[in-house]
Amino acid sequence: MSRRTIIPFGPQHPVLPEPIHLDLVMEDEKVVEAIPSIGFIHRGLEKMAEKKDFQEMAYIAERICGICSFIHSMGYCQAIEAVLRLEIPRRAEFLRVIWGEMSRIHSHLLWLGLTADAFGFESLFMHTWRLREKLLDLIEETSGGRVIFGVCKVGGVRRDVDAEALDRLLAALADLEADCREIAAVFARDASVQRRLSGIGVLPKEEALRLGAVGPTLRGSGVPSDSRRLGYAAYDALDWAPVTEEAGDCRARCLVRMREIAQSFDLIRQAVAKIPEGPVSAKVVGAPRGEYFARLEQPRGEVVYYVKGNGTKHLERFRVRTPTFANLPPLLKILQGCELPDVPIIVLTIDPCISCAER
Amino acid sequence: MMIETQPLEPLDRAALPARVAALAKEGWRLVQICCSCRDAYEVTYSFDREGRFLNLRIGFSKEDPALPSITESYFGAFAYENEMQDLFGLRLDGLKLNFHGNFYRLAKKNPFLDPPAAGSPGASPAASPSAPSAEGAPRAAPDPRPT
Amino acid sequence: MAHLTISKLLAKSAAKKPATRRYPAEKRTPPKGARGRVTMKQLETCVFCGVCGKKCPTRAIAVKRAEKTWEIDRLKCILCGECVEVCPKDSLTMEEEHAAAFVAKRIESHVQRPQPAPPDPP
Ligand code: SF4
Ligand code: SF4
Repeated sequence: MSRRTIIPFGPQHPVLPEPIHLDLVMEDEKVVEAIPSIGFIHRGLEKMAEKKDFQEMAYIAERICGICSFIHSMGYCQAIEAVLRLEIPRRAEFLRVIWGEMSRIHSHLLWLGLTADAFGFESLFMHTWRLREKLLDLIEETSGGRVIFGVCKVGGVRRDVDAEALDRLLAALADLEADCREIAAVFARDASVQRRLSGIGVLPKEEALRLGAVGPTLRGSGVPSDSRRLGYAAYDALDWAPVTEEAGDCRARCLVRMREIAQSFDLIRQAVAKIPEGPVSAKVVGAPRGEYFARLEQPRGEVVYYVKGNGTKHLERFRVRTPTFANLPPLLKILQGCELPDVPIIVLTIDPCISCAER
Repeated sequence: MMIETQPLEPLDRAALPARVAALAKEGWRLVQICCSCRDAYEVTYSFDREGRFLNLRIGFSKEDPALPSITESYFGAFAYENEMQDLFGLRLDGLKLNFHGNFYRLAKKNPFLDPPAAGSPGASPAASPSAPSAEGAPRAAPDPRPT
Repeated sequence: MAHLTISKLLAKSAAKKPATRRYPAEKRTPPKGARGRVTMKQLETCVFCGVCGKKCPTRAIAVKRAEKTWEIDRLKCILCGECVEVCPKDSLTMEEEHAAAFVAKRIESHVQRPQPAPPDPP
């Protein structure tokens, strides 16, 4: 047996823009075990809910993550609305879907770019981010913010998008969709991309389920699990099915995200076609009393928002289980037995967002 | 509006490992573990199977902050259990990957344990500089260089 | 498996003008409705009721009734726009252009001068 060595990886690492540290126990070039250590940036936002007004908390929830920002505020608002038994206008639910899917496209494009960068395909990285920039402009046009949308509030949304703006959005998204297809072809077919991703970091279906994987990590292993199927917001009115890939390797996870981009464009089109007229927010009366677990699908997977109110304007307990937190154990599993040069790419394919994992 | 039915099953602490092992066998996915603590501990284990949601809830007093670990059935629970250990000062018996209180690097031990005394600046979570400590308190003296 | 699948895209973008802007020479105009910065548009109409400061989630605004001053700490402001929405006198506005970067912390303060004819009573 060869001698074991430990290689520290992160929290500062050229290909890893996230503060996670891994102790890689190595035998020659092979990783035998990976021991994670996080907690460099624990912010204690959950505790903050005990001192903030529950309506103001929506702004803080949105800032848990800078990438899935909108869906965070949406999750928080849904949880509070469920506790309050507050019926929000249908138009607001459709707008939430539209913004939520825009945020998904933005997140997936960002991830695809970072992945291309991690395997050294700089031109692909630049082009992916060029497209993301266009999408950010669209987000700013409709919501007023580029990354932090700031439009979700308890009781609905804070601004309406009129029919003309929605048409403009659709036209711009159609152009963007065509551009995304060009990029997708490179990811799906290019030989150098295939060699870097195929057969690496395989997560079998049973393992994925047992270790609690969520989102594209789980769907890349062939499990059609997607929280949007619960039919929250307006997803019950739209026609779609979860994207899955069977292989369970890095390429499968990459393909899932790419196909989800196409699906999100389609969902936005459907939502714009079906959006009803009406108000966009309902009046909030009273304070939350009771508890609820809201489950939503973020770009990185299922997020769980738990709120417990005691009838005052401060929550008693606010908890967020972010997708990356659930994807850490499967990550450790896939790292076992991989080659050292594959570590960054494997870590990236779960789309780690440590900042939101630590809240 | 969609409100899920979320059955809540109260459970005794000692019965937890067996119940969880049974759920694992039936193919439930561990969704999350949530600890909260006001007057007593309340730990909720959530599971999902094909969209169905199930919660197990365990309550116990502050005097005896210990829980059996479920990492035997769900290895992935180590993250949640270490989190509870760090933030709430629980002792997890039989935890397979135990960071012994070093999972999070915190400025204060078990910061989530005490409810903050209203308005007291010292009660800020984790005493991190980013957490505003004096919420709602009047702002510090304005800068002497007005524009 | 295919090789050089990106070359078509590269050739296309080489023929086009750059996707980026030559920044200081060519500035971006923010779209309509963007949240850039909060400004005190009409100081004369402000009645110093303090609602904006109370509604601000980050307490970035301080209103002093006695001294008739309205102050904002831009580094605290998260550009949510609540203050603009709640102001009963429509004194505040959200501009699309962002505030310029600062080199030092400062609080922007507006003091209402005594007016010959007082504005409509609060
Ligand atoms: S809410 Fe409007 S009128 Fe009242 S203090 Fe603020 S700016 Fe002045
Ligand atoms: S925009 Fe929001 S954060 Fe900024 S001053 Fe107004 S209320 Fe406060």
